[in-house]
Amino acid sequence: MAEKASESSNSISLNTVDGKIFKVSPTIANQMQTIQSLIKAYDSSRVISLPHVNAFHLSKIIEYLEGKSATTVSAVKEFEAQFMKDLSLKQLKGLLIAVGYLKVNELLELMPKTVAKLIENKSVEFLRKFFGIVNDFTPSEEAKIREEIAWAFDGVDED
Amino acid sequence: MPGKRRKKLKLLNDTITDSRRTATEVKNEKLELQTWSDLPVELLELIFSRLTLDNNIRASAVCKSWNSVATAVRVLNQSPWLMYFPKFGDCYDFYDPVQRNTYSLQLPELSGSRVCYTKDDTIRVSSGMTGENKTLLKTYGLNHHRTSLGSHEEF
Repeated sequence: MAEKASESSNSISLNTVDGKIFKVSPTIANQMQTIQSLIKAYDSSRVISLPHVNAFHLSKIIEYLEGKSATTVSAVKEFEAQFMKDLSLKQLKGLLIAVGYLKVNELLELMPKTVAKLIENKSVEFLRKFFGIVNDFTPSEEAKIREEIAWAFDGVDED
Repeated sequence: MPGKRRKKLKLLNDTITDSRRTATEVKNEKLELQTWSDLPVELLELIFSRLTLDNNIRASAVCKSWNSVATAVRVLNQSPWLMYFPKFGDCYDFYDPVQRNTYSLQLPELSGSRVCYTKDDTIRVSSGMTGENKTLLKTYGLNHHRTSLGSHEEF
């Protein structure tokens, strides 16, 4: 996809943290708000360095921006579902950070929605284990939270 | 001893030749090492603001950073819940019309009292026939969570 975009003379070069250069069309670049404002601020022929984005994440973002231009609503939905399904939990996190940094609005809709779905109807213990989070509450702090809002802790899926 | 020093020197040498490569690798690894608990707050906000109240509350019990973000994005103007008074006992039901969920709360401190009115995040009840000992029940907000009905203070 990078090759295809480089054919156009006014393509924008993006340099990822792991040193790969991507050439993207202005249409794609402008859907990343951070890049859009950088292009406005600087000469667009310059290579833009992205300190928080690696090649995998940028290639995924470009894949998304190119793929979601499908013709029908249902085709877009299908593409989005497959796109999210292909990501591991670790990739999801890395991509989310990259998307947040580059401000890709559509992915900032889609990705939090996907993560929220993973949180729904799960027990606290499951969530810690699943997301690899260390419980940093003291036992009394946690007991206090659970006591105040005890009703919310019933009726979750089996871990 | 000398052997050890040589080994150390060799290691240093390796480090120098690799320094360019490792700098980017370290940066890359730093990205990878970020955990779900220390995601940028703006991203956690986007996630938690999509959760229903009970899911939001469970997320808030996972760790401190999730707690602060989840409590910050809890919806303040949720539609009101219906509160059902039991004929016997002290188990009160709360019906959330949006989620069509009913939640039950044991509120023994409400026993024998009458609700005078509700306003914002408080329910004012009077206990006993005389109407004395008026108590303000503090909730998370009747238009909101009404979750900590248990904690009350003297009026």
